[in-house]
Amino acid sequence: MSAFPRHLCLLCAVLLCIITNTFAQNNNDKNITITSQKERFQFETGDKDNPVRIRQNSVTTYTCNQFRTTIPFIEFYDDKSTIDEVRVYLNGSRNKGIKPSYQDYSVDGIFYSDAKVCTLELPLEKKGAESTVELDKTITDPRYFSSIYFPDNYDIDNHEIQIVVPRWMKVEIREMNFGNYNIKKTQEYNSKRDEDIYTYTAEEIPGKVYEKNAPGPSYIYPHLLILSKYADLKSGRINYFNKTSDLYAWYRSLVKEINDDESIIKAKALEITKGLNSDTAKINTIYHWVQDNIRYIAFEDGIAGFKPEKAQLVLQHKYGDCKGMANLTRLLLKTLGFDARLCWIGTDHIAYDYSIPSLAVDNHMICALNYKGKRYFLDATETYIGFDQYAQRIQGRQVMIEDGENFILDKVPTRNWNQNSYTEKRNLRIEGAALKGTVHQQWDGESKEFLLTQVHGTKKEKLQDALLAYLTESNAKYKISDLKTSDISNWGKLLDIQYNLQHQESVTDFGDDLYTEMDFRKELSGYSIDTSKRKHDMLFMYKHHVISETSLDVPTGYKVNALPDNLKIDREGYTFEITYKINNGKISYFKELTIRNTRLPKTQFAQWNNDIKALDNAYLQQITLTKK
Amino acid sequence: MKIRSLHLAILLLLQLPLYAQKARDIRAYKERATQVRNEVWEWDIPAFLYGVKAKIDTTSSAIVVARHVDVKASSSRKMKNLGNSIRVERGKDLFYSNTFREMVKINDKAALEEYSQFSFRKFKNLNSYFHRGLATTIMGVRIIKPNGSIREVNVDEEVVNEQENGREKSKLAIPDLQVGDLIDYFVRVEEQKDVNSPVDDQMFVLGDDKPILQYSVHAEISDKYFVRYRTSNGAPDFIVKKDDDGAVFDLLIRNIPNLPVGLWMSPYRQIPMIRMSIAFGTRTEEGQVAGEIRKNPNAMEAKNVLLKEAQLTDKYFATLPSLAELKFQVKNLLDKYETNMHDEIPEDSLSFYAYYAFRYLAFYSVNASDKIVVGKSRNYSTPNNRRFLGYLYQVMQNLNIPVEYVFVVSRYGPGQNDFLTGSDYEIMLRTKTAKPVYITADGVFSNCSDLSSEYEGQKAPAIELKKSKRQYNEVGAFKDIEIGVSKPEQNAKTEQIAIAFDDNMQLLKMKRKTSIKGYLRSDEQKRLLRFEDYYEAERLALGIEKSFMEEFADSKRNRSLAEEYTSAFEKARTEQKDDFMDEIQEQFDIKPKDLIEYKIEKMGLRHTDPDLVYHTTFTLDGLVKKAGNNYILNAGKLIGEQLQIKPEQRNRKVDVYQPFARTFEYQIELTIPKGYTLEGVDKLNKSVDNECASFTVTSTVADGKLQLKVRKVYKHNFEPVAKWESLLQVLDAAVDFGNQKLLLKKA
Repeated sequence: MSAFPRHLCLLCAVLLCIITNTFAQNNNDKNITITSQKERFQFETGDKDNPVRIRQNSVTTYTCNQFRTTIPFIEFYDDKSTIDEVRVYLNGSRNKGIKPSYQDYSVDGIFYSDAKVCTLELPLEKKGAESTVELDKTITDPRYFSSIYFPDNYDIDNHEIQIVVPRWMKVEIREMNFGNYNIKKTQEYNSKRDEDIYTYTAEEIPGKVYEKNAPGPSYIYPHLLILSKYADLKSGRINYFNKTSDLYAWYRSLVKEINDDESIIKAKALEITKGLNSDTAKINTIYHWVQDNIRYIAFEDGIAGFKPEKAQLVLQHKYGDCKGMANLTRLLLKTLGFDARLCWIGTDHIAYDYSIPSLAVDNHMICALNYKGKRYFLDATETYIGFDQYAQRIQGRQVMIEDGENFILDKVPTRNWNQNSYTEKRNLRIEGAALKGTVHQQWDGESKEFLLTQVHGTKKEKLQDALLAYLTESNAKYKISDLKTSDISNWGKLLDIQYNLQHQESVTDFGDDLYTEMDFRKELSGYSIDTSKRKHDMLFMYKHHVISETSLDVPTGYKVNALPDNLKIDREGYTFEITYKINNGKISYFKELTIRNTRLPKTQFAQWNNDIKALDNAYLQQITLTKK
Repeated sequence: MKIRSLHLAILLLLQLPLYAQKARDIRAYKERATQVRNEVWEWDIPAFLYGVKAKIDTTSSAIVVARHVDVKASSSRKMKNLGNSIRVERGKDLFYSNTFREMVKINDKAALEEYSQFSFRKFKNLNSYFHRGLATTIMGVRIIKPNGSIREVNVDEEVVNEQENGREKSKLAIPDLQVGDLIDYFVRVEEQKDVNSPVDDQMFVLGDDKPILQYSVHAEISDKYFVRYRTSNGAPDFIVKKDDDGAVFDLLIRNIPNLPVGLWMSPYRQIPMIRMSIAFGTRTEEGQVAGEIRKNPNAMEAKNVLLKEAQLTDKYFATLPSLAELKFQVKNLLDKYETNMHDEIPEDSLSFYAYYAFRYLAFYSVNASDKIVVGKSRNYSTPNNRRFLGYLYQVMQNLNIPVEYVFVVSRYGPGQNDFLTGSDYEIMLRTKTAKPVYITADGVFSNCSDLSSEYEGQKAPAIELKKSKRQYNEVGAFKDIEIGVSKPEQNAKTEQIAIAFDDNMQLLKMKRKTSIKGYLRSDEQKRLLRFEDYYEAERLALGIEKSFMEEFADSKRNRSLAEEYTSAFEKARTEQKDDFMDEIQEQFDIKPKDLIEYKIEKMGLRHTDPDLVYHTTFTLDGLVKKAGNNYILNAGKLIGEQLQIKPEQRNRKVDVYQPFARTFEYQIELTIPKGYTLEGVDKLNKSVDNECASFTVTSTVADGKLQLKVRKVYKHNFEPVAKWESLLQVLDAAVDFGNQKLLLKKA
C-alpha cells in the first residue's frame, strides 16, 4: 500500500472507468455482415532472392445490422509474407487513428513458429454503419501461396476473388467444394499486359462456424487451390511444383541439407538394442525408445517448418517435432541395417492427396520401414501406440515415401475398430446391498493410448488415486481393492487391469424383490447431438470398440422375475448391441458398441439421436429378482 | 503445453514501449549473464553438491533436492565496484537482485513436462511517470545425469524469442532432460532503478506441492535500506548478522513435506512463511529508518501505516476534478427521487439511497457514447475497490453522512496478527449512523450493507478522519471493530420442487421455485439476470422519470440507438435461456430435456428485498429406471449431486476454512402416478446433526403425494481440524442419500 499514491496518479479519474473488464462480443447473432470483399492476387516478377511474388490487395467492408460494436480484424503472415499497409475507412472516410499491431502468433501446442498476426479493433459506429479495411500484402514465394478461401468469420454478401496471372507464370487453379454455393467464374485476357485475369464471384457465403470434432476446413468450405507450376522468366525457367515429383524434389533438397551424423546415431542404436538378437525386438525397441525418450515439441519456423532437424541434435536435445522424430527413427533403424525411409503425409485433417502438387497436401512426417516384404509405418509422435498400430489421423492416408531420386506413393493401412478394443469382464454376486466380485479390463490401440496419455500425465504420487478415480468414475460406492495393472511403460502389449469390486448400495431391496443393473459405465449415454446448433459432420477421435460382459449369480432362494429388453442397432457407421441371458443360475449381460466409421455425417444425426435414445432407454432398465 | 512462467512479481500499471535492445545492451547482457552463471554455480551450498551424488527418493513425481533464494539490496555503484559487470546509469543507483535456484529430481513424465519449458523476459522496462528503471532476467540451467555427469545448457543459444504484446519473450525448451535426471536451474532478476522505486516484497513460502529436502535463504541488505519482516504459521526465524555494509539474513530448513490437501484451505494462514519488505532510505513520517531491521511489526505500527493510507486516499480523491460532477450527479438523483416520488428520504436511510444512486451511476446508467454491452458479461463487471470507495467516501461526506474507513484483511490473506505492509489490507466504508452500514464494492449486484464473506470474523481497525485544520488524526483514534459472522440461515438456497411423471413414466416434469439469499446469491444473479431488467428496476426505484431508451427515442440524434439497444436486448434474452439450462444442468448433473418456462420473480437488487427468486419448469430424464412393470426412482438425485470428498482428502491434518456458513433446503412434492404405489419412503428419512453441520431428510405420503424435505447445513465458516470427522459424517450422509431409491410398483 505504500505505493498507492503512485498508482493512483495513473488511474483515469472518470467514474465510467470503474468498470475494469473489457467485453468481447461475438457475431453468432448476425450483427455483422461483410457486404463486400474484393481480393486481388497479382503474380509479378520480383528480385533475385524472390523472383516471383504475389501482391495481394483485399478490401473488406463490414456492415453493422443491429447494434454498434467493435470487431477484431485479423490477418496472418509469416516469414514468407509481409503486410505492407493496412488502411481503415469508417463510413467511407479514412481513419488514420486506428493502427494495427503486429506480433508473433502463439498457438497452444506449438512451441515456436514464424506465424505472425496483424490485428486491429474495427469499430462499427452504429446500426447501418460501414467500416472497411484495405490490406496490401506480399507473398514472396509462390510455393507458399496455396489456397484462397471464400468464407470469412462473418456472412459475406459478395466476395470477389481476382487472380491475375501473367502468361510467363504457369498456374493451375482448382475449384474445391463449390457444391451448392453460388460462385461464378469469368476469365479474360489482357493482351496489353499479356496476362490472364480469373475472377470468381461468390454470393451469400455463410460465415465460418467453429465446432469441436469437425472435419478440417479443406473438407467443408469452398476454396481455390492455387498450384504454381513454373515461371518462364527472362533469366530462365523456375520450376515450382509442376508435378508431384517437383514437390518431392523440393522436400528432398531440404533433406539433403540435414547433415545427419550417422556415427553418433549408430552408436546410440547399438546401445539401445544391446543384447537383442531378433530384428523384430530391435525394431520394437528402437520405436519404443524414440516414443519414450524424445519429447514432441512443435517448431514451425520458415524453412525449418519443412526441413527435419539433424538426428544427432534431436538425440542430444531429447526433443523434436514430427520431422525431427521421423528422421531420428529412420536413422536409428537405418544404421542397424534396416530399410527405413522418411515419409511425408497429410493427416485426416486435410482433404487432399499427392495428386495435387502443393505444400497444402501434407502437414506431418513419419517413418516407413520395409521389412521382409512388408511395409510398416512408425509415427513416434504417437507416444503410447504399439508397433504396426496406427492412429486414426494417419490411417488410410496417402503417404509419400523417399526413394532416392524418386518417390513411392503408398497408403498407411486402415485398421478397423478391433485395433482399439476395450473390454471389461465382471463376475459378480449379490451380498446384501452390494454387488461383489472380480473385474478384468483390457485396452488396446488408441483406447490404450488415450488412457496411457492420462496416466503418464499424472504425478506418480497421485497416480493410484487418479487411476482409481478413473476406474470408479469417482463413485465412492464403487470400491476397488487388490488392483493389479500390467506394466504401464510397455505399450507394445495390451494394458491389463484386474481388481476386486464391491459396488455398495447397488442392489435395492423392496419387499420380496431385489433390483439391480448390470452396466456400470454406460458408454455413449446422453451422447445425442443438438441438431438445432450443430452445423458440421461429427468426427469421433478414433474407431471405438467396447465390449462389456457381466455375469451375475442369481442368489439362492431367488428367481429372475424380469430382465430388460435386448437391443440391437446395426448401422453403417456404428452398432449397439445389448443382450441378457440366463444360464445355470447366472444372468449374463453382454454389450458391444462399435464406432466403425469415425465420421458421422450430418444427414445421419437424426438416426443417431434415435439410436442413442434407444441405448439410453436400455441403460435405464434394471433386472428384478424375486424370492421364490 | 504449459510453459513454466517466470514473470516478475511487480505488476506495473503503465507499460512503456519496448526497451530498445541495442547491440551494446545485448553484449552487456551476455557478459553479465556469464558472470552471474559462474557465480551461481560456484555457490558453496552443500545441498546442491549432495544432490549430484546422493540417491534421491523416487516415490514422488519430483523432489526439490535444494532450493535457495538469494536477495541483494545495495547500490549499483557499489556492485560495480565489487567487480560486477553491470553498467551504472545515472539516476539508477538502487540495485536489487533476487536469485531463485533449485535442484529438482525428475521422477516421472509429469515432472518432466513441468520442467521441460521455461519462458522469461530478458529485459523489462520499469520506467514510469515517476520512476526510471530496468529489470534484467538471467537464467542458468544444468542437467545432472544419473551417472553424475553435469551438462550446462547454453541458454543464450537455445532460447527462441518472440514478440508478445509489444514485448520480447524468451522461450527455452530444456534439451536432454529425461526422467531420472536432476535439473539445476536458477533465475536471477537484477533491477537497477532510482532510489525512490519500490523493491519487491519477498515471500519465502516453506512448502510446495513437492517435498523439499533443503530450503535456504541468504539476503544481504545494505544499511541504506529499512527491512521489515514477519514469520508466520510456525516458520522459523532468520539468523541475522550485522556487518559493516548492513545486515545478512540466513535461513536453513530441511525436509519440508509436500503441502496438504487443497480443499477449503487458506494458504496464507496455514503454510509456514516469512514475508519481508525492503524500502530504501529513511522516511520519518512513515516510521521508516534506514539500517533498521524490524521483526514482526506490531499492531500500532499497522495503524500508523493505515492512517497514512486513509489520509492519502482522502486527499487524493478530494482533489480529483471529476469529483464535483459526481457529487452533483448523486445529489441530483436524490433530489429528483424526492421530487418525483413525493417522498422525503429519511435521514437514517440517506446512506442507502446515496449508495444505490452511486451504484446506478457506476454500473447502470447508459450514455450514448457507451459500447452496447447488455448481455451476461456486463454482470461480471468489477469495480476497482479503492477507487469506488474513495469516491463514495467523498460523496457521502458531501451529503453529510458520517462515514469512516475500515481496514480489513481477508480470511484468505495474512493472519490477523501478521501485519507486514499496508497492502495486506483492503478498504471498506462504514457509516457512523445509528445502525452502522458497511459498504464494499463487489460489483453490479452488491446491496448496500453487503460484505465480502472473506471479511467475516476479522478484527478491523476503523477511523473517521478529522478534516478540521485544528484537529489532528491520531493512531489512537482508531476503533477496533470485529466484523460479524453470518449464520447458516442467512446464506441459504431454498428450492420448492413439484414433480410429476410423464405418461411414459421415465420423464419427470419439474416445476421449481428457487430462492437464494446471502453470499450464495451473487453467482446466480450474475448468470441469470439481464441488464434490461435490472436497469429498469433500479431506474424506477430511484424515481428516474425517463429510461435511457425513452431519452434516446425522443432524441433526434440518438433515435437509432434505441433501436440498436432493442436488438441487443433481444439477443441477451435468447442467451438467458441457455443460462437457465446451464443452471439446471449444473444442479442435477443432467441436461434438461426441455426448458418449458423460466422467470425471475425477484432480482435481489436491494437490501430491502435482498433475495433472488426465480421459477423454472423443465423436464428431466435419466432419474427413473424401468424394472419389469415397475419403476425405480433415483430419489437421492432429486437434490442434485452432493459434494464427495476424494479418498486422498479424507485424512486431513489442517483446519477447515469454509467459505461461509450456509443452508441448502429442498421441499419436494412428488405426485404418485395413478396405478402405482410408492415403496421405500421410510428408508429415506435420516438425520445427522452435529456441532459442524447437519443433514436431515423427512418424508411423508398423503393424498397421493410424497412430501420430501431435505436440509443440509454447514454451520460455520471455520472448523478446527479436530472436528473434520464430524463434518465428514454429514458430507457422507448427504452422499449416501444420493443413492436412495423409491419403487413405483404397478398396482
